[in-house]
Amino acid sequence: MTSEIPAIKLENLQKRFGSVTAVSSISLDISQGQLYGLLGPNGAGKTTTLRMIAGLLKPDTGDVQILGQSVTKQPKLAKQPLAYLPDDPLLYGKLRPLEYLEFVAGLWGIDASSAAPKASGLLELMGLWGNRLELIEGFSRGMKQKLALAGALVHEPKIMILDEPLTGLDAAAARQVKDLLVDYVKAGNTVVLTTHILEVAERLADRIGIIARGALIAEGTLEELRSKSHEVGAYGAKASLEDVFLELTQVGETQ
Amino acid sequence: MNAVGSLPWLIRNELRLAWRAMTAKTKPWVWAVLILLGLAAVIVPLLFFAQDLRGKLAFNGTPPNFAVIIAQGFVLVTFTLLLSGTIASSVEALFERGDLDLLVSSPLDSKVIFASRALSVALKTFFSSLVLILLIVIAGVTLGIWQVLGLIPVLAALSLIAAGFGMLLTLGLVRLLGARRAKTVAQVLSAVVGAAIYLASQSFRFLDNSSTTSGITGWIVRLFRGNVDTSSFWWLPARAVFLDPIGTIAMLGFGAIILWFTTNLVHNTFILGTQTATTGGGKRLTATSPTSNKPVKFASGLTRIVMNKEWRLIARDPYLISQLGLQMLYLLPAIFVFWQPGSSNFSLFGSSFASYAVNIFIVLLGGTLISRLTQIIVAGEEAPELLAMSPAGGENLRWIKFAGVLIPTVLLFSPLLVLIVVRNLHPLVGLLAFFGTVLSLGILQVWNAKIQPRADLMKRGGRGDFLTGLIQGLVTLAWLGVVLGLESGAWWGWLGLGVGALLPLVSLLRPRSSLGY
Repeated sequence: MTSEIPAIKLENLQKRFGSVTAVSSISLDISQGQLYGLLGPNGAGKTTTLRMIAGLLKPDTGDVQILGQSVTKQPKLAKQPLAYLPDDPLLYGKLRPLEYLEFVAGLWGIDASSAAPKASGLLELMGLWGNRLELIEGFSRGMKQKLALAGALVHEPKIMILDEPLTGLDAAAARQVKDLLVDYVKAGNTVVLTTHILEVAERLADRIGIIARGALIAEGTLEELRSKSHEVGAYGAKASLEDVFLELTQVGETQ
Repeated sequence: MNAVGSLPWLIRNELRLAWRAMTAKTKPWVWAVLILLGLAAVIVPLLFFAQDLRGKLAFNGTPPNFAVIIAQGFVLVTFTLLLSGTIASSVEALFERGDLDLLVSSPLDSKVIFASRALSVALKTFFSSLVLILLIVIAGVTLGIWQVLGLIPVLAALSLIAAGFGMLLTLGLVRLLGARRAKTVAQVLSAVVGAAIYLASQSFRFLDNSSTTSGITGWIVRLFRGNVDTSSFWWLPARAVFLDPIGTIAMLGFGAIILWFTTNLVHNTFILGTQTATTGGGKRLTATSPTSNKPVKFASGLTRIVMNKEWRLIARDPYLISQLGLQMLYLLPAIFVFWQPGSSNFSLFGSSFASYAVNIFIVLLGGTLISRLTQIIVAGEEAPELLAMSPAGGENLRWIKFAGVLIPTVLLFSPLLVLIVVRNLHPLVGLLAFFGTVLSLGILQVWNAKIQPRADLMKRGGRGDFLTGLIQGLVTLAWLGVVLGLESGAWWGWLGLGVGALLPLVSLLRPRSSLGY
């Protein structure tokens, strides 16, 4: 049963940069068809974790599996169903939007005849069709973010890793992206996202992981996190994710 | 301490930023060593080898006409070079750094803000050229021509004038084209100016002695021999070079007036809303444009798509192309050093040197072209993480990129390769050396290039690490050795072949991480 294979499996993941431990022994299973929110204070190790999942950083110990394929041992197979959108979009200033999408589709080996209409549709969806003949270097931060998201979607990945995907987006575009992610997950795909806007995670995420000082200090549904927070703090059962997050990260920081 | 918000306070901040930018990549002690070496390179030969000249060139009172003419030319060339630099600095200072909005929105007087920007551009220009000027001044003083001390105030005046005109031109260009294009135009302009000055300096090598009385050379000869009245107003800059008090005061005064005028004009224009022009410059099409219903077609195949992308990025970067062209241009005299009119019978290693010329030419130019192009597309990759996380594979992509520059390089040189075969100019050695050079330098670059911003690749210090540069130089020498050695039947030709082939092979077989690009 493929559905029993986790979309992403982290096994005892560790990463050090010199004397600094960025990620320490994280083990985690993220099921298929989930929107998973990875939260944590600045410098907690979220981006390092995501970069190891995307195959951009080699873990010092441990392994990452994408749909059962090891990122370190079978990188090509593991990367095929994956898209990663970093907080700083990966774009080429002197390409036009369609040329960029053509290139990304080519990297993932998508057939030109199916990639072209898909790319056009994504540009329409992102409201960038009218800008398709302009060079990307002239785009605003929000337009670049939307184009990068279109790039992540053009090869129809089964798993999307998004680092602060709503950065630079206006209210309408942010709403559009959130709706898109919900639909994408409903279709059976998996999304892992980091965000500092806790209301977004509270509304969208099926499960949430909280990282502090490189360690996964709590993981579960919002209800499970509330009960865990209730054990250690004073917010009670009606605590918002913000209350829970602050309570748990303060405990995590002091430990 | 300067009062907070005052002009000196702002200038101090500007200079601090400039210093940090300069020392971010190169440590101050490296600069100090380079400057000392430069000074030693000028002073030592003068002390030991130019003893005979000491005192003989010295003069009192009015400098000789030929010296004034040379000085005038020097002032013109220096000003042109400084101006092209100040346009680029002005684009950065006014539109790119992004802190002007912060300053303009503060309670500081906007005139003071713009004066600090203009003066900082002038100061940066002055200090960045001062080392070279000091070398000339030291050389002059060592030879007894103490009047060349006037070069320092002249440089200060030229920096002020260039900063003033640079800011005005920048505002004009930005209004017409937008900030991004204005910067490109400024950069291309500076490359063209550099190329023009360089070509003019080299043109005399190719002029036959009999033609020195015609054309530019003739004009200069007549100018030198004729009775030019250098006391007129037009020769003030040249006289200032030799510390003429009126010339020096006039130059510095003119510089100050230009900068004062610019500061006032720039301040007013900027406040009136020129800044809004910086975000423009690109014609925006709407979804209802006539081409909107045209079906979108994508190319197929990874190789074609990657090559398309690389050539689009290069073709749309005029600055990169102009700098590349300039670097190729600078190599030409290295070849013509050996091949001058009437020197076809020059002998080297027992053979006519003319027969080597074409093969040396293709090794030097082909090697430089492939090396720079490979560096641009591999080290200058703008989204390395996109490639690293794709399933296409980093090694595969690098090979495709290499093929993407190798094919056009070979096509570009194919007429010369045909010439080598048709004219029987040691065709086997020539073809071996050309393909050996482009393959080995390309491979070295493909597997050793370190990612850096594309815009930095053509800057000084942006050409990769020292070791890779050293190995590339060694490999180029090895292939030149193949040309000279194998054509003359010398044993060291084979040594060159070994070194030229072995070093890239080692680089190719070096173990690499399976992750990443």
